[in-house]
Amino acid sequence: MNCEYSYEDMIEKIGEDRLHEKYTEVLASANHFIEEAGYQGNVECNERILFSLILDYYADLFRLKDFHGIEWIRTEKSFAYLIAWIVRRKPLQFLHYTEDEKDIYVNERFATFLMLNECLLCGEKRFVGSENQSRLDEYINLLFYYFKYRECNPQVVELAIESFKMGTLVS
Amino acid sequence: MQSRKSQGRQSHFRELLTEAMSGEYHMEKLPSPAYDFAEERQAVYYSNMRYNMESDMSVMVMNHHEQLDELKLLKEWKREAQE
Repeated sequence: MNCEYSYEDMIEKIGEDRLHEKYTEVLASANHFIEEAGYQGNVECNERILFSLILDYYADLFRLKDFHGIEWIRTEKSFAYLIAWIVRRKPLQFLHYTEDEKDIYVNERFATFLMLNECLLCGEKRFVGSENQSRLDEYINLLFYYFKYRECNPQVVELAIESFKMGTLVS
Repeated sequence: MQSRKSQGRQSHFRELLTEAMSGEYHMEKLPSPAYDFAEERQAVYYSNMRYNMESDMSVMVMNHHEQLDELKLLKEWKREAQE
């Protein structure tokens, strides 16, 4: 079992196409998020930071795959590690001082959206009933708090995603 | 010369070792999916995700609970400095 990788070995193992594919998808999503959230002009996705976090994400996944002897990983795990690295590396960066009424937690918002998308939306566009808005609001607050002030652990994020999905089955 | 207690411990260890060697204990494995999250599957997932960014749920994530205390204070200081 070889758990020691250099980035060079890793890139060779992942393959440039696969790496480029992941990088392109995350970058497009980050840029779309910046636009939809109204940060355009003030925030950009720093491509070097993003590339570096994707390498770290793959490094984690390779260690996991080697250790557990598994070939593929589930989307819950994939997003848990991606989210944790986004919160650590903060690829969305403010370009300059802004007086717009937006706060500085753009990376944590992006991470929260990725998590909710994996938990709740499951690939479909859904709307929240007005009777549940305040509860969802509370839940978003809780996620925010975790990403802003707690140590973001991918295993905890994965467990939270799994628990959320289980909760939707038993309700 | 080993005491009886120590000999007992060693023989118990041997029994445990034999059990482990005979495959009685199984290493737990993480559940893994039957497919790879890549290429078309990944492209569709991310494309749907970008589409989902236009839902009211994402608007809640993007705009709610803005923490602007420091911005208000900074603006106030700037205004005071200009006066």
